[in-house]
Amino acid sequence: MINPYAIGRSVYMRAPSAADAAGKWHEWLSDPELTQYLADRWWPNTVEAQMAFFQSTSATKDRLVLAVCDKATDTHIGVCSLSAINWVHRYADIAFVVGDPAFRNGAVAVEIMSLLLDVAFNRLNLLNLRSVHLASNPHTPLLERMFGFREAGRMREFFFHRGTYVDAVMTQLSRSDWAARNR
Amino acid sequence: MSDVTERIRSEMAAVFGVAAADIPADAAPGRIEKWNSLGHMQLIVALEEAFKIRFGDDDLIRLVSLPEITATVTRKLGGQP
Repeated sequence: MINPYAIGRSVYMRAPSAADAAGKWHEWLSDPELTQYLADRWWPNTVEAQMAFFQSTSATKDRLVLAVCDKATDTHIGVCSLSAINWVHRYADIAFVVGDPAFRNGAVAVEIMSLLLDVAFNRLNLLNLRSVHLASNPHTPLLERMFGFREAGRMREFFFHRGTYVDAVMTQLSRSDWAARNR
Repeated sequence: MSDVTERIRSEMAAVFGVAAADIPADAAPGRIEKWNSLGHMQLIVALEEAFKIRFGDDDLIRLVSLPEITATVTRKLGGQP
């Protein structure tokens, strides 16, 4: 492992590097299959844009971006983040993508979520996490149900997805709910 | 084959659209066609509903093969893995 920040069973997380930005990271965020359910990704991504994003993340404490790596090979396989961190109210937005198609098997996504929640609640001492997903996304509702997220509201017909408008589903996970599930 | 394993195979068969008898003893993501990302999550939700249990985070990361799922579910039900 290289500079591990959070260690799981088959993956670990570390600070992203310029090499990540120059590697596959930018391609993942152009990939039509991966980005179809991402609300803010409709433009082709570039190495330059990814490098600019990478450089911006190291200069701020209101966004934690972590590279997700395969423990066996140290391969960079995805990225996760806690964004819009509000240190007064102690909440953040949670998100991740499994960029490498070889690791999009569900088990890795579950492990990433587990690790990221531990980071959010046990290391950053956050109290709430929020998330927004397209109602047409079949994965996120299942994943969030597993981890105890609650639906907090919907913005109706808010996102344009494949020719139709779908609801934006807002969810929340509190530290108390997370702790109760893991007692 | 234990009752728990049989019930898990039954849930897998329903989620993945295969016959329970075709699920190998070492079944894992990728070894059954529909045990993909969505199938994995559907399976976990189905197991929670079928066995009336809720997996904690430490349980969820262990659900990566039929043997490990069997051990985890058995432990959640109060038995020995």
